[in-house]
Amino acid sequence: MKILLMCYGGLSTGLMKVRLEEEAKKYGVEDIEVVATALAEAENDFGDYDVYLLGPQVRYAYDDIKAKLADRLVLTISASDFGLMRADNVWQEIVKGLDRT
Amino acid sequence: MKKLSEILEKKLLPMANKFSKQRHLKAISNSFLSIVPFLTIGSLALVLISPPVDYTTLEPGFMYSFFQAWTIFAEQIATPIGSIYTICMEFMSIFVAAAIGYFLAQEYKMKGFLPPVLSTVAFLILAGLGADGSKTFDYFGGTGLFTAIIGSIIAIEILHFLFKRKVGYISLEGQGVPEALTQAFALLIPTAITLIGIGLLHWGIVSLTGDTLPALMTVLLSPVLSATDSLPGVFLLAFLVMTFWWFGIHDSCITGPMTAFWTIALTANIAAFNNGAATTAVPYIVTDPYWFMFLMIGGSGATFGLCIVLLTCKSKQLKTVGKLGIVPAFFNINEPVIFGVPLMLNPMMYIPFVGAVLVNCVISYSAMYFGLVGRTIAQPGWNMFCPIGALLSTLDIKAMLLIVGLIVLDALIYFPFIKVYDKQKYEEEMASVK
Repeated sequence: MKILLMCYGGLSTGLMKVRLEEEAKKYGVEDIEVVATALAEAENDFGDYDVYLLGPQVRYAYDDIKAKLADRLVLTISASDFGLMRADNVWQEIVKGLDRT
Repeated sequence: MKKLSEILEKKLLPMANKFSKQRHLKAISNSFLSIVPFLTIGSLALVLISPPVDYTTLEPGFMYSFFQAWTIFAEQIATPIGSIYTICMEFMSIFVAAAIGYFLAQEYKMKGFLPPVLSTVAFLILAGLGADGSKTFDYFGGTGLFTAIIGSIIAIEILHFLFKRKVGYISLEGQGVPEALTQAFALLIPTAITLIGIGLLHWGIVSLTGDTLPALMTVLLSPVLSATDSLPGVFLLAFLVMTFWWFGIHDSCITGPMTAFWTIALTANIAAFNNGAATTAVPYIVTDPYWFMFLMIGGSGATFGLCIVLLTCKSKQLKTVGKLGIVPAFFNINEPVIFGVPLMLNPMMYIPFVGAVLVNCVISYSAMYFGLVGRTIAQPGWNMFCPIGALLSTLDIKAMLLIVGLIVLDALIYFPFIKVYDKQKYEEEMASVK
């Protein structure tokens, strides 16, 4: 599974990236790739990812991105999950989201 | 509270979105971000060859030997290392012009190497020639920055205008011509028109005012720079940035474009320092390193002190945030703290979140204003641990001590608010366990 994590500078999401990869492996998903990047960078080329995650600091961009990536799963990480680095909650959101689609 | 966040989601955030997506501001922000390595290397090169203390005035001992060794070393490497400083700092506007051409063209989906070259040429027409037509290097440094910004934007706007309407578009497609050649031909006339436009602009300004655009910009910008460098100016800016952050709007929205002014101020300081001025005597206080090293210690909100307080909390949530936040705080990354405590939209935290920064702002400004600590003459990069960054950027050990003192002060400012909040959180956590 390929996940693109976006925040303002691509730095603070770097912290989430590592935790999210660990979380996925806990559930036996070995084939996981999480890329943390800056929103401005991503907007030039959204690439080909299964899931697009927005940090709470760039949640304003959700509508724009959802419009461009209508057939993909786009999620915003809640402020509390992001602040407490609750990769487990974020992973559950991803699983739920993928089930729906 | 709920109502407030609703207003925020509906009104303020779309506004922030629009602002942060504004093409020109975005291109300016990205350009300055991309050239920071050169500013850091260039300014630290100067620091390396400029021992801050004249060793002959010292008592014999460790410090004497240290600065004597540094002075001898500096003399040896002055030529090669000095050249890095000269080119990185005193020719900076040339690569800013190229960067803006590149990033703005990207916004317009214009690919290829031509736009950044065109914007650089436009800048050189406007800044590389004096009013009498002679060649000049005077405005290639910080004093030419606004001309680089304006010239590049005008050039790319004209090019994009022509490109979009296919004015002067020579199509060679489908005639067995290599693609690279097709592109070169396609933009030949638009490029020529753009350069004629820039040439006419240069000629017009010189005929009307008797001087060139960068000279004119220096005069026009001097009141703006005095305002951004004043205590009320930087106090207001810090207040706005922190209030916006409290609403969850990232500081880069505002500080990105401000970097243009801060860089002009910093380069003026560096140039003065290079001419022999002491760091306490360089012209400007408010620069990029002043903002990131002296105000935002540990990240926006001066949260380094907060992280220390959080580690002493009884509430599991707050303690966890403290542990998660303390390491990134060394590199001035504090999103975990802002979203984890949370500080954002937390009415109890507004006062310390904004207040700590304003206290840092007033104290550091005053200390620099009265010459108690050196002003900034180097760019350590905003990810540098603040006490070290302050030392590198001012070459003044007192600046490092000031930062340590401010961290303690920030912790004291956050302390009473966190204690009340911690009690509340702890009781909530206990209640939910039962």
